[in-house]
Amino acid sequence: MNLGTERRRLGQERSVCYNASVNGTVIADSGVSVWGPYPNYDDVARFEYGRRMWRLPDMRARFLRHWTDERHPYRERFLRQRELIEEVLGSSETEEALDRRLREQGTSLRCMAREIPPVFGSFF
Amino acid sequence: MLVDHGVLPKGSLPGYYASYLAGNFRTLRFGAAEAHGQAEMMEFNYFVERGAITRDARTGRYAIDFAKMPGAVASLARELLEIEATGNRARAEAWFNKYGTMPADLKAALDKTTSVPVDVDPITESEEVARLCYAALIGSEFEQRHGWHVNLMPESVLKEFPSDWKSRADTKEYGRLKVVVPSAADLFIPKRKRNEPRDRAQETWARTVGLL
Repeated sequence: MNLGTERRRLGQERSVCYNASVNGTVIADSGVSVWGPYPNYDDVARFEYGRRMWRLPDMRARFLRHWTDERHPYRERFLRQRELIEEVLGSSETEEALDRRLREQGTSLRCMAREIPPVFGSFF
Repeated sequence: MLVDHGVLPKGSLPGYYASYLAGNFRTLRFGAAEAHGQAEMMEFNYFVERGAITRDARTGRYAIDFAKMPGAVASLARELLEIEATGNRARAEAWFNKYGTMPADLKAALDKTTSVPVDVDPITESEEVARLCYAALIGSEFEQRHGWHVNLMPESVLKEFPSDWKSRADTKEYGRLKVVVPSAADLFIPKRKRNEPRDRAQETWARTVGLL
């Protein structure tokens, strides 16, 4: 748990993926509820492989170097939400538990996976 | 324009144009039915008309006329921006009709590359393999050298296949690496469900080359 964001309520000014009704979403079937009925597999992959690579110190350093590179188009966006993105990538609980925790903060795993910046092979 | 303003070095221009044409061929391999492919098709045909891209009839190879390219890019931008700014539907339709079709000689050239995959979408549990995949993403040196890239997929994508897909899959081992490839018929099930123009184009292609 990241103490910096543990109790933080995210509002529109805090996160681009804020959704006021996110806490009201019914979690019925785990497979469907976390990623929705039409999952974006690129987002899921960015989260799954990103989290696994995050455990490798050299890959983590490489991601951070890449995402904060001046050439990265989402550099500013990443820097605005860096703390939360790092928390998601550094998490080890199940997708459902992580999603629940994120919903308590006013966002969701589905939203946050989309905020993990892409990796561009040309300068990774 | 960025070169004119000194932001990018003038010496890099031939590289940018060559990279553009390579990217153009890569997209065109999906066919002109899909929106991005059609847009690239129209650009390609326009540049050929302007003599900025030429084809050697003897070898069937394409080349860039670097002297003609800047003028052709400027006139293409002017044409497209004028169509957009004036909202002239008839002019836009005339543009599509004139430039939107794939010439037979280009189709023949692209047909020679059908055995080369555009991308490979693996699922892996191995950190070692995943790490290697990150070195072969789109735009990577690997892609520039080999002409295809890797796009990692999550295991959950397998839910889109019938539950018995493994019984029809091909398995091959390369040393410590075991590769399981779903059958073409199973791979096209989610594509058929999505049913986008590129999916239909790929299915047509798969039937043409006997995959389905």
